[in-house]
Amino acid sequence: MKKNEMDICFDSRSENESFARMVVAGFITYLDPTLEEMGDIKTAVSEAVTNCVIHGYNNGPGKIHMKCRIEDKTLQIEISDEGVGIENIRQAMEPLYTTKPDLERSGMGFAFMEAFMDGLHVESVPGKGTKVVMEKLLGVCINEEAI
Amino acid sequence: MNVEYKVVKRCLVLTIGPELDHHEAKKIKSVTEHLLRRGVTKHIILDFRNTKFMDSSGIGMIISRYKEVSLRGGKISIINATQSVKNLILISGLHKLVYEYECLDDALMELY
Repeated sequence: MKKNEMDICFDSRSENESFARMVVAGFITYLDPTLEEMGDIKTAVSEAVTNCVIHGYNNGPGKIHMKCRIEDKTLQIEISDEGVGIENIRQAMEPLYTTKPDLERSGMGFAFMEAFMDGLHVESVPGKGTKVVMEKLLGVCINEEAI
Repeated sequence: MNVEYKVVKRCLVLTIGPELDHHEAKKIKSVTEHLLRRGVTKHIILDFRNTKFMDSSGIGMIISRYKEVSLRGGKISIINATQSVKNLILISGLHKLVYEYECLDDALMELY
């Protein structure tokens, strides 16, 4: 069982949403995920980072942290900000609920994270920030010799 | 700019770029607002032929375009969608609001 970890920090900018999902895609490439798994993970990462940019920092400046950890066949992704936080996590996670309809938000961010990943955990302290931890079990066999 | 557009028979045909996320959705909003305000188009057709990635920002963008054209009595159609785009549309329940066609000719034939 081989572990592999990665930890990066980047500015809260909408340009970095694609950067973040590319980084994760690159990090897991050696596990040879299916196209579907790759698409699911990229969408979930994009949702979590977009939440940091739009909600956590309200389109203002800030830093987003992203940690990835592969252990056995499980990929864990932790995305966090030190932004405004969420008052009511349960309400925020309801499909179609959004605090920013004026910004053309669909309110489907958390619903997509839940739909595309195997596990989702959200921690938030108002005024301190939000941390989203997602897990996905990859259905591939890691070829130890190939690494 | 990653979004191309043309006007065919009072339809605004937008060709979406390779990745439709929050960043790209903001650009599409400004393009369509400008064109709809000029009043030359009634319907919107979104062409996803080049789109390999979409997230909930794309869903939000489509819902907003739906609202805009509905006010003018228009319809919103989606063409050339890849399986991943189709899946997101299905999961979000958007297939009840938008029309899906294989290609532009099919969409135009249905609208007129």
